[in-house]
Amino acid sequence: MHISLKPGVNLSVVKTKQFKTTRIAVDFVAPLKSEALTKRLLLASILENSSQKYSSQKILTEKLAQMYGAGFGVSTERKGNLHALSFNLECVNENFLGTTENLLDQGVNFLREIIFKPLIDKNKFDTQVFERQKEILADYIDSVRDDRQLFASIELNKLFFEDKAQSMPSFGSIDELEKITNEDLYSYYLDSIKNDQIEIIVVGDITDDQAKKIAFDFEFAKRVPPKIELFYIQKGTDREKKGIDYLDVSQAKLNLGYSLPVFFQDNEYYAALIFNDIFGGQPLSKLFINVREKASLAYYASSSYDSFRGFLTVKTGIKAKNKEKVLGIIDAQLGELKKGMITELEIETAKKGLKNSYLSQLDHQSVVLNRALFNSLLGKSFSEQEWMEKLNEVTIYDVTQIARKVHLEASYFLDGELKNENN
Amino acid sequence: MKIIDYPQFEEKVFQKVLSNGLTVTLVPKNGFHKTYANFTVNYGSVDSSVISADNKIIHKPDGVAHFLEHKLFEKENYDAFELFGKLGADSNAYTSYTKTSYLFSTVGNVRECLETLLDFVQLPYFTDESVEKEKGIIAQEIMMYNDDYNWRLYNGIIENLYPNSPLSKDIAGTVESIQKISIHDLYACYETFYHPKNMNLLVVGAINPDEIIEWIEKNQQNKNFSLFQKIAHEKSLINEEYEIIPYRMLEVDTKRPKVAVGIRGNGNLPAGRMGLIYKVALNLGFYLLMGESSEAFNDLYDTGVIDDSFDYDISMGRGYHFCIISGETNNAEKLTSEIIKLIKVAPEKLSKSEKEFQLTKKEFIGRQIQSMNSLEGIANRYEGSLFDNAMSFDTVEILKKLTLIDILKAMEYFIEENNMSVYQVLPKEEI
Repeated sequence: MHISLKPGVNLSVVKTKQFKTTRIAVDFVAPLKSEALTKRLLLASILENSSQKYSSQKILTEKLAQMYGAGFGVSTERKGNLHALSFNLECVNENFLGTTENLLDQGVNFLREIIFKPLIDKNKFDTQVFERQKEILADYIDSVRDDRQLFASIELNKLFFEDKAQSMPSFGSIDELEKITNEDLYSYYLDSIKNDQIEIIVVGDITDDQAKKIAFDFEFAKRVPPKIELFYIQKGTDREKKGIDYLDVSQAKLNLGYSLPVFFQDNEYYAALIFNDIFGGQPLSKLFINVREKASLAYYASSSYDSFRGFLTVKTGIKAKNKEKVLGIIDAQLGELKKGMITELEIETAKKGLKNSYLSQLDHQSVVLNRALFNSLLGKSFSEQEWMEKLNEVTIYDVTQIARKVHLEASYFLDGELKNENN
Repeated sequence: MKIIDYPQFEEKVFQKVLSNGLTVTLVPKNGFHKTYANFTVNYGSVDSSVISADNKIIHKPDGVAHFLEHKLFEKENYDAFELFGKLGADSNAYTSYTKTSYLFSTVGNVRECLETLLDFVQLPYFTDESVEKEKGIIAQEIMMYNDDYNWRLYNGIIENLYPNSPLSKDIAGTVESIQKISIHDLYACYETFYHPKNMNLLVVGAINPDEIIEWIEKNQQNKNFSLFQKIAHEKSLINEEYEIIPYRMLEVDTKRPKVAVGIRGNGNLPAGRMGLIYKVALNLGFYLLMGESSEAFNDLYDTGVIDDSFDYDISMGRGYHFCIISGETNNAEKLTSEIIKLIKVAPEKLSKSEKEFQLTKKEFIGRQIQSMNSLEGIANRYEGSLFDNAMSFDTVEILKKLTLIDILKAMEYFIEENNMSVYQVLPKEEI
């Protein structure tokens, strides 16, 4: 079921007996803005760790324990041009506990406390909580470079995107964090509660009426959220942007960024999925086989496709001295795809693999929930059958056409200093 | 086939030991699309020796178990990984200290996938050429982990706790040790350890158990296995000649210090289900002591000593058990001393925690039920012979019966005067 409760407030319900828990998400959806990335992440941490009623992390986790260890979290996600601040709760269906307690009701009440009654001090958040969460976020941003794979991905993203909100890491930046004052953040919170688009999603063994009651009980007011163009479309460039850094690593990272201007559920979307699968999307792909297996040059070599930003990335971990060789192999693989050097077997294998992963994902409650969210945001839903049919229709020619649209625009190399020169 | 019924969870487990000795466990899950299979051999990186025909113990180069895991996929006429791909399935494998597991997950072609899994693991084929080529790939893998400071921290503390024992060696071996691995080593280890009697197969998901067991039995009937020979399993991984190294540190190019405190279990791991009860009790004990709702966690969190990276992990396997408490911090010294202090007062603190204990029990029961939502969750909690084939459904019963006294006894058995060690990864001093 998918209904609009009020203008700007939507409810999606997926009824299923597959899981032993009921999952509820309340998502605040807003247009992506560079200055709001860090703000919304900090807001998520503050709201996750305290509220008026549950005034410390200890009291809060005790409450969750009382609800038989209900799962709870507040998270953020950047997707295309939108940003979602998401409150999630997962509680065990009472039938499996032999208790008469109504855990779902308790869970919903808990979420309401968290969302609407934060721990505040007049016109700002509790100072101690604010300062501590700010510190934790700063530490996290600082530690990102310890994860070399993540660091290289972030640097490539910076190189590739022109728009600030897209080029920044999803957590924003230290500079943005330092600018945030407690009063600012609180007023930003009040604004979000009032104006963000609200998406409520419930997945579990529940009736439509129960779900509707839950959703209405949140008492969100009607609102007129701005219309969001879901997809971020960047004008292509002919110039390849290059970046290089030197860090103390024994394995160098070479990441490439391509534009692939095909978006989620476009006519060519399914061909793009198959293209990515054959190119570097899975361990039997051309990249994996040729860079890792045949040339023994890398531990990992893969591609991924972001259909909300028309962005294709290749990631590899290699020996620094093999950089040119690896670049050559990657380019040759793309060249083969452009020339249509694809076998029927490769296409069939890709289709089987993609179907397998699509259906497998339905065994994860969180993915079922996420799909319901995106259907709601897109304003249309896609049946399993439709998905399979469209995938089946893709031909070698279609994939070739996709390959020809792929265009290298950025490359980033994380080099391993002098110590690897004799490798 | 033995059927174990869990009406409370609307679940059933089917179990059979085949005539060749292979233990098969089947868990049908209604409403699921996927089937997940895990074929595990009771052999891991610590099992570094084989017994020769004339009864001599022969030591093999470090990293053979992991090397075998890589090489089994490759066959004379096909690659098993590719075959799974063609069937639309995902496959993978991993090696731990005491186990090597091969797995697939699929929506369709379940029978073909099952047979592929059984065949590629049970029909080895190695060539000198492919063994040589694999060395480059595994060396890259080892180097990649080298750049991961969390990995370095973990390995560092294990080396402190188990100096010179096989546990202190990296599971993948070293860039040097793998160079020594020959096709002969692979066959010798394979023949020794990969016997159905030393293996188990778990299939969970969208399955009909009768059909599945029939497929498996038919496949196994076509294969001959030699008599099960003696295995040079390491009995205990505590090397008494070497005492725990109390402290070491590593300086790297990082901004945030990382701390690990390790506790080595010196006593034997209780056998079968008692081992699982012990593990659950320790998990609960540590949660009460330093879990998210504990006083200690919240004090350290609020005063800026720890963040959400703080965690503890209890590891148990054949011949060993230990607990690693670790986290990132801005004050390595303070975090280290606070953890040690906390462990020392554990018995006293826990004995006054009856109220918190009852609450935590509730929480753990709920979490255990949540884990039944996922095929991987069910599979990962299955430890085979270590806990006498217990499933997560059994853990709920264990939790229900657990008392605070049990927790105290387990903690007392585990924590001793001199079985702790510290490892720190610190930022390089600016010159």
